[in-house]
Amino acid sequence: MRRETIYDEVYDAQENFRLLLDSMARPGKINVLPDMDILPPTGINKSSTLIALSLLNADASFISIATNNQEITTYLALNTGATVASINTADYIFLNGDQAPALIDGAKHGNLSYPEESSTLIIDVNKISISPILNAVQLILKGPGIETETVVYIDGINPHLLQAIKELNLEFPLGIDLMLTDKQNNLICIPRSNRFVYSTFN
Amino acid sequence: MVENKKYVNKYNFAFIDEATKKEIRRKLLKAVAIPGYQVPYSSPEMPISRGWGTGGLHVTLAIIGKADVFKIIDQGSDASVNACNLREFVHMMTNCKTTFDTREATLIQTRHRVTEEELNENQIYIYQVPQPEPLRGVERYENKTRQMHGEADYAKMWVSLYEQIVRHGDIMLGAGYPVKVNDRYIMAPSPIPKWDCPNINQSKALHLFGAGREKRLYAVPPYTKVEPLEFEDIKFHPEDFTTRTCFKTGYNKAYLDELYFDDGTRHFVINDSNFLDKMVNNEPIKQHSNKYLSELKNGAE
Amino acid sequence: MGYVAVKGGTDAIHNSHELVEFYRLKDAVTPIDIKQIRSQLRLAVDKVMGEGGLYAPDYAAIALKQAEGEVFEAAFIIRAFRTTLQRRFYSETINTRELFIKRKISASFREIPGGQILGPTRDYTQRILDTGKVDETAEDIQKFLEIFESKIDREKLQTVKTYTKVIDLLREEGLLKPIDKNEDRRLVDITREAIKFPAPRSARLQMMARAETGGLMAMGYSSMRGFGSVHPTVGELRYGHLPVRIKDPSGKIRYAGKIEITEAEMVSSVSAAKKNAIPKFTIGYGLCFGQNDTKVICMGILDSTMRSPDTGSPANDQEFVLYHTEGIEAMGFTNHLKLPHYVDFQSALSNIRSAMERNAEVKEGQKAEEVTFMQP
Repeated sequence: MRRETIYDEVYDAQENFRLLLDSMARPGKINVLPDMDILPPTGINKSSTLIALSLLNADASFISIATNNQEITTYLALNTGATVASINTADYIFLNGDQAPALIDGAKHGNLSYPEESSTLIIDVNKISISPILNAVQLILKGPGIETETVVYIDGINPHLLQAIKELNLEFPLGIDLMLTDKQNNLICIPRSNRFVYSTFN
Repeated sequence: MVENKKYVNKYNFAFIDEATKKEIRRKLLKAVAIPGYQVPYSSPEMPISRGWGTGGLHVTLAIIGKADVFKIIDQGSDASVNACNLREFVHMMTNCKTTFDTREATLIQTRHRVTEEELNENQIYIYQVPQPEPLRGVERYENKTRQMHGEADYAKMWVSLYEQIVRHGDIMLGAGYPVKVNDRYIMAPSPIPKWDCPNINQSKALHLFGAGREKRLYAVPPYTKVEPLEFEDIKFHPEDFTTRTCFKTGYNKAYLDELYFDDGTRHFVINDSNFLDKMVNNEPIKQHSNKYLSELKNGAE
Repeated sequence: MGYVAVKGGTDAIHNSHELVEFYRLKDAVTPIDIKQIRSQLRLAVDKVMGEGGLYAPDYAAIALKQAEGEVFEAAFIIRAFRTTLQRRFYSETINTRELFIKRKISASFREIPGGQILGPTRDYTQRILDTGKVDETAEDIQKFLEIFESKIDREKLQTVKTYTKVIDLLREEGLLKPIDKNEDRRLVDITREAIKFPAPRSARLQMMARAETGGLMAMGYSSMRGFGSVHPTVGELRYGHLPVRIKDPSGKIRYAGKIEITEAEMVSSVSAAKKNAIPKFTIGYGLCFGQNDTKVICMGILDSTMRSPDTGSPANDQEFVLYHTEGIEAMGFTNHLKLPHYVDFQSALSNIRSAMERNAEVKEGQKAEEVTFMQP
C-alpha cells in the first residue's frame, strides 16, 4: 500500500479545498482538481482521493463502501490518519455512483439542533460534463448558489441513488451533502439545500 | 518574538496548524450547505483578542492561499487601526499580496460593512461577527435558541419586533438587522448597517461569517435569497441619508459617516474609504444595485 | 515580499508598539531573568500556565515578562502560542493517586492516611508587608537555602510514598452517591470542538481548568453565600507533581515528564430525591496546573452546582458559569468596546432621530418618551 509523499499538506490541501468550497457554494459548477501523481488503489477516482487528503485527518471518520473497499480503506486510513467508522457514524462515505441506494441506509443526516452532524458522500462517476452525454443522467440544479439553474450531465450514477438522496434532503436542514468526481478529475458538489431534478438523457 | 535557539518556534503558513485548518474547512463546507445555519467549531486562540476579529481571521487563514489578494476593512475603512493590525498579521503569516482596491481583492475581510462597490464571482467576503445569534436578544440560552432555529420557531422574534413597532412606531434594530436566509434560517448578518443588508441578497460572491469568541461559522452562498425581517405594513428600510450629502463628493447614495469639525460644524462623508477614493479620483466604480438604492435620488444631482 | 498596502493606522500602531516597549524599559533597571520569574514569581507562572492551557513554565515566564506582569495578557499570549503547536499525542489518563505530595490537607477528618501535610501554603502566614524584602540579597537567599537544606532528613525523604485518598475511605464505606446514570460521561476535547449545552462533565471540567481564577471564585462564592446551596467541605486538597505518560506509535507506554498540579475533592451532602431513600455524599472535583488552591476549590464547588442545573441560581447554570468565567474571551470582548463603532452608532442614530421626529409629530409639546435601541 502506497504512502503518498508528493501531496503537500499545506499548499495542496489549501488549493484542493478552495475548489471544493467553490463547487459547494456554486452547485453544479465543474471545477477540475489537479492531476497529481498519486497512486490510489483501483476503485477510487484520483480526485476523490484528493478530497480525502485535503479534508480528512485523525479528527474525522470515514467508510468506503466501494467495490474494492478493503484496499481503499487501508489506503485512505494510512494516508489521512482518519478513523474508519460504520455507515451510521462516518463523516465521509466513499462510494461508486452505480451502487445501490440501500448501501447508504442509516448514513448520518444530522438532527434539528445540529444538522451539520451529517455525512458527506464522495461519489465516483465516469464522467461529468456540461454537454450532453448519451444515456447519462441529466441533472437540473436549482437553489442557493445558482442564479437561475445549472444543467450538468453525469455518466455512471444510479438514478435510484439520486432519488434516495433527494428524498432524504427534503427534510432540510437535515440531509446529506454530495461531492461527485469523475475519471478526468472533474468535480461538482450538491449541497442538501439544492432542489435538483434528474432524468435520463437519450 | 523569542530569538534564542531553545525557544524558537517556526510559524506555519497562515499561522493555524493544519489539523485545525482542516477542521475549519470541513465546517465551512457544512455551513455553505446549510445557508444561514451556525456551525460550532473549535475556534483556537489567535494572537489577537477575542472580540477583535478572531472568527474572521480563522476563516481567512483557513482558506487563504499564496495566490490570494487580501483586503481588510474595519468600519468601512482600510486605514482603521484594527484593520491595519490584522492586515499586517495576515501578510506576515502568508506573504500574500494585500490591497485597498475592492475589485482587485480575492478575499475581503470586514468588520461591520459591506463594500459599496459590487462584489464579483471570484471573491469571498468574510465577516467578523461579535454575536452570531440573532435570537439572543429574545432568548438567552443557547440550547433553546438552537431548538428555535431547528424548528424554525421564530415567534418570539416576531413578537419582539411587533412590540417595538407598538412602542416606537418602527422596528428599532439598527446595525446587525436580522435577515432570513433562503426562506429558512434567521441570521445575524454581523453589525453591518441596514444599508448593507440588501447587498448580501443574490450576491455574486460567497459570504462567510466567523464568530470566534462564540465559536460559530456560517455562510451565505452566492445567489441566495437574503431578506431583512419586515411586516406586511411596516417595511424594512435602510438608514436615511436623503437630506445629507458627502462633503467631498456631493454624493449621498452611499453609507455616510457623521463628522464634527473643530469649529463644531457637522459634515457627512462616504464611509467606504476605497469607494470614496475612487469617487474623488473619478475612477470607474460599479456600485451594488438593490431596490432601495434605485428608489433614492441623489441630492447633489 | 508582496506589496503591502499601508495607510494611516499602521503608523499609529507601530508607534504604540514602540511606546509599549519604552514603558516596559524606561527606568533602565536590570532586566529580569526568565529564571527569576520562574522561581520568584512561581504562582504567577502557575496561573499563566493554567489559564493559558499549556504546561510550559519557561514560556509562561517569558509571557509574563513580555506582558509586564499582566497575568491575563500573559495567559492570552500562551493560549495563542499553543494554537501554533501540533498535538502529537494524547496522554494516557493521569492517575492522581500517583501524586508526589507536597501538600495534602483534609477538612473532613482530623487525621487522614499519611497525615495532614501543610506544605508550602500562605494560609497561615501573617499578611504583614515584609519591608525586609527590600534589602534581600543573593547572599541572604544562599544562606536561607543552606540552613533549610541542613534541616532536611535525607533518610526520611526516601520513605515518601503515595497514600489512600479520603474519597476512597468514603467510597469503601458506601457513603458516596454512585455516579448518576444520566450523567453525560463522554470524553470531549474543548480545544478541538466548541462546547455544546448541556455539556458533558469532561467539557465542564476542562473549561473550568482553563477558566480565570477570579471568575470561578466569584461564581463559587455566590453559591456558598446563598445564591445556591452548595457549601461543601474540603474532602481533600492536594498539591504535588504527577507523571504524564504517552503511548508511542508502537503502542508502548512512555514516561513524558512530570507536571505540578493542585487537586481538590469537595464533599457535599445531598438529600435523597425520593422519600425514604438514604442521603449520601457527593464529590465535586477540581484540578489545575501549578499551585492554586482557590481555583480548584471553586472548581469543586461549581462541579457540584452544575450537576443540578434547575435551581435558578447563577452558579448552577452551566451556560452562565462556563461562558462567563472564560477569562481570555471575556477580556477580549470587554476590550473590543474600544474599537471604533461609528458605523453601528450611525445606524442607531438614524433610528433614534426618526423616532424623535415621529414622536414630535404625534405628541407635539409632550416630553419625548425614553427610547431604547437594541444592538446585537
